[in-house]
Amino acid sequence: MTNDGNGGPILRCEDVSLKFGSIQALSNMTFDVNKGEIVSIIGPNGAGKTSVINTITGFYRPSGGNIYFKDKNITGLPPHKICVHGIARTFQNIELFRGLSVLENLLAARHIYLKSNLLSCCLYFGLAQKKEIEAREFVEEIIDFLEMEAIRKQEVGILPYGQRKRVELGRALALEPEIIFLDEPTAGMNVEEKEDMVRFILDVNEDRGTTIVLVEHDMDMVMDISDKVIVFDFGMKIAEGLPVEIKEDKRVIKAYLGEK
Amino acid sequence: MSEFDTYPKLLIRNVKLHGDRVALRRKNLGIWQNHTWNDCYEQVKSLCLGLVDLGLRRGDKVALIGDDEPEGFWAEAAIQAAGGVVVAMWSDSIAAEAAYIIRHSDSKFVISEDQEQVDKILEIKESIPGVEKVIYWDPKGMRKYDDPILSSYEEIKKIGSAYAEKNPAAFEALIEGGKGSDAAQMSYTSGTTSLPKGVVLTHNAIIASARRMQEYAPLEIGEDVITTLASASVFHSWFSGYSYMRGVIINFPEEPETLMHDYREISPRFLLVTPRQWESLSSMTQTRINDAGFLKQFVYNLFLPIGYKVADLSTSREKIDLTLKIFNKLGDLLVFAPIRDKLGLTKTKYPVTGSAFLSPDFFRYYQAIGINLRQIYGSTEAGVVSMHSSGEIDNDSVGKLCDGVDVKISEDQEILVRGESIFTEYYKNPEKTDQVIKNGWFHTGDSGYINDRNHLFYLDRIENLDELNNGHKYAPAYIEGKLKFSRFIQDVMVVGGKNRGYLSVIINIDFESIGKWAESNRLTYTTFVDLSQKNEVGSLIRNDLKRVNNTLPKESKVRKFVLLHKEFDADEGELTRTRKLKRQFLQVRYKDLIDAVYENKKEIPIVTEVKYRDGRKGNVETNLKIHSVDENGVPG
Repeated sequence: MTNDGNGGPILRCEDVSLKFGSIQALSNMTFDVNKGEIVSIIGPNGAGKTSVINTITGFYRPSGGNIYFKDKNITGLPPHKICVHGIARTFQNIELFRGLSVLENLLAARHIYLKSNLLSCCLYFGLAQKKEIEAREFVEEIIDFLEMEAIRKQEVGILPYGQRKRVELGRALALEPEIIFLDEPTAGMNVEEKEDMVRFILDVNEDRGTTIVLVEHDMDMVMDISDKVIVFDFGMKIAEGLPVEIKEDKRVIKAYLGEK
Repeated sequence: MSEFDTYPKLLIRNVKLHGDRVALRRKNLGIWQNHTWNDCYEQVKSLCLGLVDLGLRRGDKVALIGDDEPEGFWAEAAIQAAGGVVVAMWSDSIAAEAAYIIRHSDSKFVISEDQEQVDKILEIKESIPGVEKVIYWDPKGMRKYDDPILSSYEEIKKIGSAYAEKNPAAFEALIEGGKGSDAAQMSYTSGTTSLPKGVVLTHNAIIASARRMQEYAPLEIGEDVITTLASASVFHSWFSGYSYMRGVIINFPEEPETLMHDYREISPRFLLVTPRQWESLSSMTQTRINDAGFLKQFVYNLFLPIGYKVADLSTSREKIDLTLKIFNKLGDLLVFAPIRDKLGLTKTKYPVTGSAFLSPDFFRYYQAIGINLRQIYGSTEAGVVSMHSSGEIDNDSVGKLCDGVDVKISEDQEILVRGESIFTEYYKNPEKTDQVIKNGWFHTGDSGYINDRNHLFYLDRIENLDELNNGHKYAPAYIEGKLKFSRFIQDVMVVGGKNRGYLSVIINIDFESIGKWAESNRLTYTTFVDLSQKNEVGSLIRNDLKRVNNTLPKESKVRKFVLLHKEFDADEGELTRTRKLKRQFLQVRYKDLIDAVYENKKEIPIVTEVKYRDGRKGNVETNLKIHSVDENGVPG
């Protein structure tokens, strides 16, 4: 139902480990994500799902191993350098500028494409003006894409939770990423909002060819839309495969349900 | 006028007269984008010829389903230019309804908006074998669809452009070949009682109605209007007349959700929305006022009575003294003008309502804040019959009879209409057609009367006039309209009838307003069901009922009421798509409840379905309270 991901690996994690003091959050994590795929990471609470995203996107520095994005080693780069490479993400607990409007939040994300000198910025002419208009146009297309016209000028802080999640996805898209990490994109949503979000995720994947990695607890959704599922438990990868394979996997069932 | 007896002919005229002028505008990517008549011509031409190349012939039907967007507007013209008949469908109709209409109308093509509509059509593909092509205009999300029946709007236009190169005169020739007496459109009636019927309208009928509207609400070339009506509504095709016949600019809002914002930016000269929308605008205003700060509330409450006073005096054509005039002007400056601005009505000269009942209280309210609402009376079958023109507004009538329309009242109080604007037939249903058109007179099924100033007064549907067991006649919708003025009441149905001695009502509470009210009164609640059964809410609604009862004749007073545990829902068949009550169905559905009311029970157990988060469904049993309007008295 989605791209087959035959574009070869776009992201590789090799033996990635992460320690907080004496706690081993991730140990020797190795996996690939192919271009154009939708990959889901699942696992019980505390399995290291968010940690791995934080490590890849530069919020944590791994204590061992290497991360390659398009064959470039991005291990340990800070977040603002990582996003320039074409990697974007959303957060489990929504991190937006609450006091700014939806439009402004998305425009803020475009800053990496706004390059002009101070003078032309101050006077708003030449390149600055052109870039500004381009940014607005790009952002408006995202607003259209995610059907946010009605909330364009609303302050993010007063929006309902489901819509804020949508704004976060929009901000990630504004970076024109090649890969997006979505940390629990449908948590706390009602059925209708969930359906919308799933549709947007599929549209992003299909229409823009963006690779998607999601952390998600809703198994129906995971099994429905993923090309590949990776299962974590206690900071280790315990299984990886097609959704149908994962459903049958004994280790996975054990991790979720415990032993008889 | 016979020279330009179809919209496509008028399109050609407009292109010649002023091809560079703006014909319509749409908001896209946050900016209003202009389309000139030349643009429209190119769009319509290539689409029309594309359809012709695919096999569209004179008299063929094409179903059109989607939100109101320029592509839909062009598609209508393209279909009609080729001599085809537009089958106008509601964008929110469910799959089974859509299948019935497409099959019954013998539609050869379906032109639909987007993925949502395409999914619906593909779902019913097996049951509509006559459809040869399904065309969509919004390609979003359509990349992976490979059903050969699908084509995009752009593909068809490409075919059309190629066709035009080979046959440069084909488009004009097709349009020239059209006659005013040809069928132009089929609208399916919402079917309050039975399966929807396909009302066939000619170009002549549509143009006659459009002309009547323009006579009483004239607009000039270049003035702005905004589309507010579902494209399936027949008002919509009359409305298009402003564009084709007068060169008025039609503005298309960005999304249905941004409508209010877009109203404000455009502030249309002419605004026709349904009574329901006027009701919700007024309750929205009231909710906002209640949320406003002390000063704003104070000023509003200070000036509103003055507005009412002036409104009443001018309605009864009495003299307004200077002090009152000055205060009203001040009120306008401080309160009413800002409200009009928020509602996007600053430049609106013709605020119009029609198609269903709107309580006189709303007219009075809008008049008080400086909006002189006028009514239009008409129907898909009859066309435009009457309308208020400036200076001839009477809140109780549904307008002055239009020129060129023949109207008479039959012996049993039915409104009969004759003239150019009435429909040709119900498609493939001659029996039904003969039932309503006799000797050229269309029997509307509405009851009413005409006064000496040629104003038409509408009471209710003939079959809806009801009487109690004591022979007292009452119009349920009239009472319902009055009750709906309360911001706490979302919807309401009056119950009575020949077997019963008094009236009672079933009420849907307005969850939002009452929720807010509960919050500010520290009343805790969990769900709609819970809130609706609170005693405090019962008393709140009782006050509204008492207020309305004061204005009703003794026999029509409402004695009992029930606050329903859910809202009436079109998807469950309780309302029509225009959100009118399906009374007979509701009477059956809530029979136990109604019986309990008249058996003087205090409450009745009901079972409601609840959906849990994990998708399971369960039933919850609760009791619905039956309230008396008079707390002490026992009705009977």
